[in-house]
Amino acid sequence: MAESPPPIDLNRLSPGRLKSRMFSQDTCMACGLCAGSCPVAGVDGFDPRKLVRMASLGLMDELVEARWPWICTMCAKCGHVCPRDINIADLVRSIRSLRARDEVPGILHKGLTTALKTGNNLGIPAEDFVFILEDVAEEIAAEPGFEDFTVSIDQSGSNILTTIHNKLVNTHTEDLKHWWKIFHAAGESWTVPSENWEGCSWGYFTGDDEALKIMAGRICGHMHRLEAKNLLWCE
Amino acid sequence: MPEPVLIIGNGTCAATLAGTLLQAGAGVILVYAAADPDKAMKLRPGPNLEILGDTTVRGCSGTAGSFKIRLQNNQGLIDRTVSAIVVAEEHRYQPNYSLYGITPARSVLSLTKFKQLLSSDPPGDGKLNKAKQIVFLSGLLLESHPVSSETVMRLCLRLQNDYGIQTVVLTGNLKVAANGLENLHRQSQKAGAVYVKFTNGGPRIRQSNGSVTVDFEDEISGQRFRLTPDLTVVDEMILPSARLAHLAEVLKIDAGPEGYLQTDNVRRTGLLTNRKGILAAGPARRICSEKDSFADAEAAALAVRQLTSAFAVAAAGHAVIDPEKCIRCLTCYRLCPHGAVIFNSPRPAVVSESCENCGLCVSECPRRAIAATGSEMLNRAEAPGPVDVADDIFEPKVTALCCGRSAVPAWQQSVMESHRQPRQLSVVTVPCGAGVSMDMIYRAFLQGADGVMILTCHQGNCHSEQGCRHASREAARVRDFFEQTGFETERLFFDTIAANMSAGFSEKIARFAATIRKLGPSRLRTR
Amino acid sequence: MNSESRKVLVLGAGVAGLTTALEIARCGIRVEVIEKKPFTGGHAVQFSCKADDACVSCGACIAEDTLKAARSHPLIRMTSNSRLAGISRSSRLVAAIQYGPQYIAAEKCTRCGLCIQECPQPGAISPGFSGSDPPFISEACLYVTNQSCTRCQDICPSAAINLQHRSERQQLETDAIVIATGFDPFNPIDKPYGYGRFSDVVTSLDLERMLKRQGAVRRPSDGAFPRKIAFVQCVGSRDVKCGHPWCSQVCCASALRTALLINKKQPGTQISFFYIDIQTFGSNFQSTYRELPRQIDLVRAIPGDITASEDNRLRLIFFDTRSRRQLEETYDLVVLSVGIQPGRDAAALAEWFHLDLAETGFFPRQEQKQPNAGSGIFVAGTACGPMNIQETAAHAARTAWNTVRFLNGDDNA
Repeated sequence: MAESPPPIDLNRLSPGRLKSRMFSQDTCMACGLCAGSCPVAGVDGFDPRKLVRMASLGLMDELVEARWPWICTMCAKCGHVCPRDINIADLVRSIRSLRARDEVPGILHKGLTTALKTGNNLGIPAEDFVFILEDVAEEIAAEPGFEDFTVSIDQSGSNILTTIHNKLVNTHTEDLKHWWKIFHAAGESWTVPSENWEGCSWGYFTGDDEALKIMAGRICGHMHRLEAKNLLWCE
Repeated sequence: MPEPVLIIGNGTCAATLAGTLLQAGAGVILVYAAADPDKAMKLRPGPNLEILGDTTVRGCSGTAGSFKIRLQNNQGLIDRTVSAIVVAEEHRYQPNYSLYGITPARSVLSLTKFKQLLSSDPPGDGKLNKAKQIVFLSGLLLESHPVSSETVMRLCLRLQNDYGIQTVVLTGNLKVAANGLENLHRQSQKAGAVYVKFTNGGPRIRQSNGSVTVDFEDEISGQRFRLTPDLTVVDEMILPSARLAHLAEVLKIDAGPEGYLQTDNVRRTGLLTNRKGILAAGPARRICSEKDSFADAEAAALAVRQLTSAFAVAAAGHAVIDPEKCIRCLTCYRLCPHGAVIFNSPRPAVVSESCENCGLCVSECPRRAIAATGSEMLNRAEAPGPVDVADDIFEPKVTALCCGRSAVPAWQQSVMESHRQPRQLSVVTVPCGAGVSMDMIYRAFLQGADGVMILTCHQGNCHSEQGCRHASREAARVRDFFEQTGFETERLFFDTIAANMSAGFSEKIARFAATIRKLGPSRLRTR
Repeated sequence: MNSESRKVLVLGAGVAGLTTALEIARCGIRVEVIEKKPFTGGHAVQFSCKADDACVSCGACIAEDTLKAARSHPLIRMTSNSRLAGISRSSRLVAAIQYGPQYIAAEKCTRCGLCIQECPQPGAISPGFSGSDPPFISEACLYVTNQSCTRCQDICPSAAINLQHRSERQQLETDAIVIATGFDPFNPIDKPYGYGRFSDVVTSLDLERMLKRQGAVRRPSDGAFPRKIAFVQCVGSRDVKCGHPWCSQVCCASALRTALLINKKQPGTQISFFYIDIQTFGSNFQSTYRELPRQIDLVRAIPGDITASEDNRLRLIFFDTRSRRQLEETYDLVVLSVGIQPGRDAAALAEWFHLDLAETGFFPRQEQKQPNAGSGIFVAGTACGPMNIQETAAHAARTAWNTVRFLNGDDNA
């Protein structure tokens, strides 16, 4: 039997610790609504209530070192239902931000570095991207009722500007068709930027505020440059 | 000018009461066994206020409006006449040291001791300056109460904010069911207080050389923790004053199982006891906060005022003892649940103002010397409403002896709601189950009932406390007799009901009628 | 002013209003009670008894007692279907009251139920909730719709019915007004529990009425006895998100007493109780609490979602602290213990009477003395915040005392 670790000495808690924290995790009353609502609670030990509890008890090092806080998908349903109005997703981001970047799990940090360099998480060059979009558009145009369908790239003055999640131009191109067809059926004027089109911001996901700012700034730049009226940011 | 009001009590509640009554123009006699040194009464004797310290109550006779009270102190016996009596003895607190397996020490205090420490001058007596962490043990193993949890939360808030001390509350179910407590809980959390709640099991508490170590697993995080607090504060059981038992006996008040001067009977609304003119206020009637005490002071003032009002409608009718038949056995005097029978001389009499017309004396008098007046004791009503059962089978005559406080309104509402009733149901109203006698049951059978059902209030819900028990006992005696004589015992059935059980009434009576239908006509029916 | 001419107006005929009225009337002062609903007795008169053989002190029958006493007190006049329409001040307070039509005269009605049995239009005459209250006639009545039927009026043995009665506005001079307008139950329609969508998700108040009317608990969807029931606590209580940072104080007691009753009346029913902290109630709570786990599955978690299962049952999703996993459990009936919130009229009334509401939206709960006693406006009962039936009666007695003192002029304000 493995020896259990020694108990944590709660005396190390400093009463002043709260004033330096911006979160409301200390008002948790352990009702369990967050964990009961969470779509990934229990997966690899993930538990939003446990996260709030540990943060409240000042066990930040333990949280930062643990793998399970990275299971959260940042859907923020937990905070939406929380009767004490604790912003749990924000807390998750803060915990993730405290990890050294080279220790961010999986491909997240690598993808983010690529996105900052190339404009998307997979590093797909602009010409390949345009080729894929036009290919998908041709497939749609082959369907009855969509004969005049074309994809609109970098079109100024569109009503809607949409971002693209990288997997939609990689493995899930079929998914692009659904909403493009809806745009077409609705007679909507829309467009896609040819560069820096990534909608999946791993800066948001990994708690990297600087990267998040850069990527969001790029999208804002498109909106100004292309004079689009509405932004459809598909995560 | 009505007689003064007697207040028995040693603290805030009694003092507030006295103040309220004096303001309202009543005379007050304030009696206490021993002054509680913590609660300066701040009252001075005056023309309307007599204060008797170190005094105990030795005897009480008479009824509302004119109680004769015998008091005793080192001056000897003192007799007074008072219009009403209000008992307002303070709680006593029993620290839960042994419950948690620890003993009091310099660093282990009860909640009361800790409050004293904090209110001493200078606060904390030096202990607080050095303290970094204080642990509260509250509602572990035994359930807490909002009065206690409020104290703990307030202390946490103050210790966090004013002293920068980390507070940790170890508890089970956190009690927040009182005005403002949920908010207070949140405020104390925001100030940094940590609450650890246990569902199954609890912390391991050890003590060596006085100081305490607490080990526990936090259920939410699954982590094991250790606390070595500078001070450990232990919660207390809040109990009724030990003097209440004696007072209950002298004043003939039904005490609850915990010893308070009110039972858990919901009929005792406000400060009412089973005796008119005798009230239980604040901590004499339940666990209460200081705020509740203030509220009770006002309720008591109102109740005292109503004693002299012509519009404080009393029970419809009362019992009367026939002097020709009375043999002075004093059964009525001993049994009356409301202390309404007095025995001065030469024979007992019922004080109509105090009588609640329950009928217990009427049904228990061995000489049948007592009658109830003013109410129709036998108000027979043929039940209207949709009826049960097809024509071709035997339709029994069912008589229901119904308590007017529960079964009768339930029956009335049941008719209104169009619940089915047995075709030949007659409902006999009795003011209380206490008025059900064997005579009454036999009479119902002799008058042609095939089955008799007795319906009273639930156990613990009787206005006169004993109606349910009495009626069920009478029924059992008659059934015993039936059994011996070979008459079907199923023809007599006792059950309980509440005024708001209209569906329940028709269900119970239908089930009973079905039983009787199977048995066929009663052999006792006079043809 | 002599006592005969003094008068108090009480708004609301729930436990608070009725108790205040009774306590004031017992001091010899006339009281006028108006109730906006067609029946009197408030929420409590719709509650069921939770006793099996011994009383469990829920207090619901107090409403019956109080209503009966108030109905028969010579100094109390009580009108349902009526509301306050305005308030002004001369030397006394002048209340404009919109009295609704009083089709059935309470003082004449003997509650024989004949009108209900004979009425050709189902639902037109409702039996009310208490034997002390007359039945009431609704909009569905054929006379009210097109004057085509007067059957009830024709057959009423005590001539208590007058279908020609009309609504009228009257000015009422009064010396004090007691606001006893009570609370509203929280509406859980926006919570992720499918209330309003799944018919077998009911509120605690729905359950009370069902138990009272039918004497049993059945699934609304098919009338079957539920084999598994879940109680979900704190729906709209202890909830900053919906603006209710308070414990409603009555729900744990009500739900657990009901659960224990169902266990006795419908043996074999499995009951789960989802909670945060169980609140103390009753003087014997300690022993009740110790017995609970033997009869009820106590789950210390609030479920996240309720969805319908393939076999038309209800699936609750919650996080199990012991196994640290999210679990699903299927039930036949789910009861949401909905919280107490301020009445919808509170804000308007506060404005009329120039009173400040507390931050919670309730009227402030004066702890020592009603601060606006000088104006002759008082507040009683759950209009001031959550309290149980017994506490409401106690609070009403206090308010009555303050009102009486004000009328006697011995308020040293």
